[in-house]
Amino acid sequence: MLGSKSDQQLITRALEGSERAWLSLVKRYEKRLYNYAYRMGGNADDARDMLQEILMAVYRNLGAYRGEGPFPAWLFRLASFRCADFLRRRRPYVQDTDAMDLIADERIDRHPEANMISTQQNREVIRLMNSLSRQQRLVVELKFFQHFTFDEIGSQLGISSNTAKTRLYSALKSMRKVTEVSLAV
Amino acid sequence: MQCEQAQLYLFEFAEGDLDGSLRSDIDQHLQICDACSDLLQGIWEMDLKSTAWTNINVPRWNRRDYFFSSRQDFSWLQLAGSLSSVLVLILVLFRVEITNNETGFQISFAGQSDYVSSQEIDSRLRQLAMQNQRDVDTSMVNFTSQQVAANQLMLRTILMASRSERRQDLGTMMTVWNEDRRRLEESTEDSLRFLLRNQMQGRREIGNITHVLNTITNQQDNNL
Repeated sequence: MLGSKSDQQLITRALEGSERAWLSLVKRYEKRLYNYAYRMGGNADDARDMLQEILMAVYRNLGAYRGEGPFPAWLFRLASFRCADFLRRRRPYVQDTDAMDLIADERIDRHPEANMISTQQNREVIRLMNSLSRQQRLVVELKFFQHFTFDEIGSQLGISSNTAKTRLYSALKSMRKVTEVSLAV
Repeated sequence: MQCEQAQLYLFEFAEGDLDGSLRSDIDQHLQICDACSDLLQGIWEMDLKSTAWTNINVPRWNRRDYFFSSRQDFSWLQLAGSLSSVLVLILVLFRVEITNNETGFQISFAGQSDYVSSQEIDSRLRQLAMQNQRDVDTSMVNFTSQQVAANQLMLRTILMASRSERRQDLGTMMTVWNEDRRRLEESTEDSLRFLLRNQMQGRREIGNITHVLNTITNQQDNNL
């Protein structure tokens, strides 16, 4: 986009002390991170807390990013660590799929029917994600929503790509079972 | 092809990234393996669900305050702490002493200040107390003298005023008395003059009477 700075430019300026550059970087990625955190945490409060923890970790560690790979890959590796840590500390199970804040973004806010459908779809995703273990959830998130390769996922989580695949298939099997049970009911 | 082998490439197969014999092998395996077919179905379903996910808006939050206010506070605190530590270090290393005397605060380095023991302080305090007592006594004497002088002056003033008043009163009385006396003398003189005039008139009338009587007597004698 004309006039918009690249991630690397913003990072360089932020490291030089520019608050504006840092806030631009935050605005660029916060929605994607918030939705990531929402799917991982299952409710708005945890998502907000997780988002802030992730961004604070990025703020503190930005100097460690050497530009060796794409910034989103580095960002989500850090997010995965923070998220796993957050979920480990959190109470065992929190589900908030009735919350109206699952309502989607501005472009469908004005159409109640579309809004309702998107809310139902989001709710279904949250329900399925909540049925998974933390590790399975992370792999599903990184593969289906963040579209990383298995090599990248393995690198982010410190596992091999084959282990990442195995976890993903295991997660898919669990979700299929949940879907079948809910259809049977 | 076994399930393990097929599942290694199942995701790539689902995304259409496989070509040639590998693709046909997996295709054949899927026709005979329900488990792998279910997995493939699961991949497609989850892919659909992820596409249908509608992004949720981030709740409003103050990014600037969250990232920078705490950092600023921390840096101020850190700066204040560092400055305090440096100051204490300087005071200790250079043996800086700050003392207070008559001329004000005195700062000295390396212990060169005038050391004042507690006994000397007591002595100075006693001297100060005695000096203070002397000052008070002198002030009291001065005050008493001034008070006596003021009283004497006041008495003199009162006496002078009293004498003057009495002198004025006597003058007034003398004037009145002189006036009365003058009036009395005039009245006496008038009475005396009246008396003299009466006596002279009486003598003249007696002379006349005597003359008349002599005349009459003479006539009678003549007649006789």
